[in-house]
Amino acid sequence: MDFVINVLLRVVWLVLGAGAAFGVVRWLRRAWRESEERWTVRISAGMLVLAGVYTAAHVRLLAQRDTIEAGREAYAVFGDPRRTEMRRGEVRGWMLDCTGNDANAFAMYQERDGLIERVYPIGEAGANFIGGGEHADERDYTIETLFGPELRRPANFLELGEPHSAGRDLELTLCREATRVAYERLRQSGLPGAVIVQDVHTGALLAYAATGGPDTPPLGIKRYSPPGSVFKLALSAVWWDNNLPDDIPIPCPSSIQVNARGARISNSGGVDRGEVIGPEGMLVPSCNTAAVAMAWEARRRIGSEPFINAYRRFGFLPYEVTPPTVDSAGFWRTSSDAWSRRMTPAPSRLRISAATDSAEWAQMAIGQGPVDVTVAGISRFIQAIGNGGVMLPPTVETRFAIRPSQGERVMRETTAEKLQHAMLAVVDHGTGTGARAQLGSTRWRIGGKTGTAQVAGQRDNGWFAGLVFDPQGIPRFSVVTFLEGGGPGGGQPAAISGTVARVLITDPPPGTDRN
Amino acid sequence: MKNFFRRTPDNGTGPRGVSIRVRRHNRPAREKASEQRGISRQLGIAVILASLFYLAAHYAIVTGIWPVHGSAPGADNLLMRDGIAWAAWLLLFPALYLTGYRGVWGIIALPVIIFFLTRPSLFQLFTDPVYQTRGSARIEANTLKADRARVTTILRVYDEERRQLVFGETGVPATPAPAEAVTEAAAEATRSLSPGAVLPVIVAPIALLLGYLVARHRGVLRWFRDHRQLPFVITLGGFFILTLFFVELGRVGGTTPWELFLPVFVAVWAAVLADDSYNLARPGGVLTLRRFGAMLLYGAMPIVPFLIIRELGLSVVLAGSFATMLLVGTRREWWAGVMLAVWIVLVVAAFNLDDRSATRLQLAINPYRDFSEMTEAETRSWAARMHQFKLFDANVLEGGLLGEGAGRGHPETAPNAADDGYITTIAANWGLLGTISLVMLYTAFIIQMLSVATRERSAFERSLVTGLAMLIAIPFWMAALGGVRAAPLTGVATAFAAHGGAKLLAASLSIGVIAAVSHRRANAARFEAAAESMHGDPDDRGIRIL
Repeated sequence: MDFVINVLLRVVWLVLGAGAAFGVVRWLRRAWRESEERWTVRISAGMLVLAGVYTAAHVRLLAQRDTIEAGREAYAVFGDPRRTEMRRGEVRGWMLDCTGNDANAFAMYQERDGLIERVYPIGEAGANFIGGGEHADERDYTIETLFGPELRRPANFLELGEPHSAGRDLELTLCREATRVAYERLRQSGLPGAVIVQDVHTGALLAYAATGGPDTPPLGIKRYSPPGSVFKLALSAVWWDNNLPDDIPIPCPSSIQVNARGARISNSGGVDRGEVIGPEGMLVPSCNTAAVAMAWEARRRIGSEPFINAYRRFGFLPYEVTPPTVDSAGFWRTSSDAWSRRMTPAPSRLRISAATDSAEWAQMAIGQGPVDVTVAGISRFIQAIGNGGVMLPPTVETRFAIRPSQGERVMRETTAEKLQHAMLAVVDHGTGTGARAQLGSTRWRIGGKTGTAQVAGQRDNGWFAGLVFDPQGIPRFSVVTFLEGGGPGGGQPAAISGTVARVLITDPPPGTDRN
Repeated sequence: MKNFFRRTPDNGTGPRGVSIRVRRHNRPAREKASEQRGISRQLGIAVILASLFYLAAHYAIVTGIWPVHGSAPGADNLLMRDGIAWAAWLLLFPALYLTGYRGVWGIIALPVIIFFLTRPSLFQLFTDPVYQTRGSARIEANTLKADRARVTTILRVYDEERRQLVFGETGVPATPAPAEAVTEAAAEATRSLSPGAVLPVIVAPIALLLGYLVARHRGVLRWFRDHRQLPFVITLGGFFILTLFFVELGRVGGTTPWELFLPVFVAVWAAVLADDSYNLARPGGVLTLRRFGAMLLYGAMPIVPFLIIRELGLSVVLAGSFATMLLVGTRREWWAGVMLAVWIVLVVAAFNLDDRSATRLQLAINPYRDFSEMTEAETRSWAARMHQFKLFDANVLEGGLLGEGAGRGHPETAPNAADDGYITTIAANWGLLGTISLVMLYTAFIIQMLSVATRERSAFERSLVTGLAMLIAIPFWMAALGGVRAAPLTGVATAFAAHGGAKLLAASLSIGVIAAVSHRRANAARFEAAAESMHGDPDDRGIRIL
């Protein structure tokens, strides 16, 4: 009703204003031609000029909106009753989790001591990504802030005319319990880290948890680390994508010399495994020396260019001299420009070219040296493996998860299947067995690849990049866990991944068949 | 009343003792127009539309805003006052019709339309529980208002299941009442509804009618012209006494009666110009001691008290009105050159010598100065000065193109949103297009007043109407352009569109006088036309219409 009244009232303004403008112009035209009293007519014409000046000044203010808003923002510290009233009085939309159930909301309103406040039920578990904590409105890494305009947009047509319209709910793909458990496990580890879970068929983020306070950038998106042996998946993908043989025996000595000056790369624990068969044989025990041999052999057979192109497709930007700091390609599928601008991860990257020497080539094969990745970057790569080689842009918005994009094929389907098989084998009888125990008696399986990345002067970082398969053997979720100083990957990272997978299996997001 | 919305011109009317019968088809359309008494159909429809707007906007505020924000104590009385004002302004039209008004209806209808369109916005401000509070009470009331808004919005929108999650077992809490919870705020708000603040809105239509009824008798204006010294001395003397002994922070007993003096000074100046326009039109004629002294006495002296009480805005209004009257009265371009030069000198002097003026100019140009280059004390001082501007800007931005609707937006958070920043309040409610409409309506109103001056043959009446029109026009432009930072903000009140009881009364009275002048000219034109159709040019026949 109010909305309709206000529309009609605006029409009255416009009709009367237009009528006045018409009358003024008509009178002036006639008076200018006929009147002998020139000065009053000139003054009248001056009034019309002033009306033009007013219009220009008003339009100028509207055009300078960003500048003025920035100025207001700067001076807000000296008091701004309007901001106070609007912030305190507003009713933003709720942030619903993957179940769409109000009771599971990530952000909602609740009464506390007689006041209705915006609350974040998972507390600090979401502070680094979702919202909450002190000065929640000022931080700009959270969904709460970056989707602010969306959450404040009137919920429906009728709300448009209200002085304080109720905002529109935001349905997130994130699942509250999985996120909470992931954070809890990270917190228990006492180490900085992040867990990202994606639906491999939609790209939707099902869980994101990271350590770090409300004021720190999200670790899973902004922090670089070498990927360690997780990168052997990429090497294997290149191998299989280029039709190199599956069953080739590859030597797996305890160490291998990588340059003329005697630099060597060793296996974890200095184990000599003799020979392994093909990439899967290399992946299961995570044999470093076999990976180096494979990388050299593949380069000898196909050259450097297929490597460079493949890594680019996998989301690892190749560079020769200056490392890229911005990924121009869109990472997220999102309706929020602010989100896209602020939360696009630092680009995963590696220094590679035809001129890369054999030692550096060897280092890259095991995810060391000039390779920098983010947890989000690895998660997207694992999602592509789980989705038959088609990479999808990640999203946190249910509306996009319901209608996933076509995505981009980054590897052949057979390559993806071989990688999935190898990952299952890694967890079944390789370095990732620590993840298996968490699934217990469920008929679901988890596959993955562990990674232990060495960083000079620090404890090894631990990685586990896994895929969760339903009872029919179809990959459903990717689970990537990173623990800074928490290596080896088969230890805590694998266990955390298994725990989070168990939560999603027990209480699966809508659309996932439990059996 | 059947001819109120004119459809058929009446025939056969004329001065007592003279029977004139003119065949309709023999008279030019222009003269027929001057004979017609009722308001034109277009204007009538515009007034009706505006009056319906007034009612609907008040309704939208009372039903849509009050439950959300709460209302100030006495808001019901204010609603009643606005209802009476609505009736009073509408009754003005039949009253004028019944008294035989034949002048330009636009000068009556347009200010009423402007009043009807803008008053709801002011009504919302004055019934807001926070707007009239000050200091810490304002902060507290603002907080309570926001809390209330959140609770009421949730209660309005959320279903039972969601309410259960929000309120839990304790149930819905009591809705905060901002004004009642802040004693000081309540007291302030009540004060604003004192008779002094309430009456002008209701009395203004009566003042207009009285101004018209009194001034339409030719003898009244003639007496004033012939005896200008008396009202001048009384008004100026009273003005000086008030400024020297009774002014406290620019106010006398909480009111600003200065606006009521301005029409008197304008009328006196019109009389001076009318009596001496021939000499004032010659550069040589001006430079005599007697004439120069008269200009100083009647043209400059009234401005002095305004400078004493540092009412720079009103001094500009008065000086601008005098200058315009001089131009119209003498019809000499060189006066425009002289005054432009004087104006430039005064502006440069003011902005260089007067800190307050310089600050206002800086605020208009860029209120958001980079405070990284200022000391902490300077920053705090500047932040206090620009506080109002940043909120006015926020009003403009919030309104965007079409505004938020009646009473919507948050203009009440800006200090003086009903006075200095009224145009930004309109912008918040009705957006860019709404304010442009208001500007066009006001421009039409001013031009309608000037059209009366254009048609007037008597030098005194012409200058008087021009001056009175400028008393209304100049403040409007100063406030409108100041609100959007196209000019320094001076704090002068805009008649009919902004808060200001004295200004409303003075403007209504002035319009009454202008209406009287217009009415007499229309009557004179009518008789001239009638006489001409019978005997040729009345001047040639020695006929004089009184």
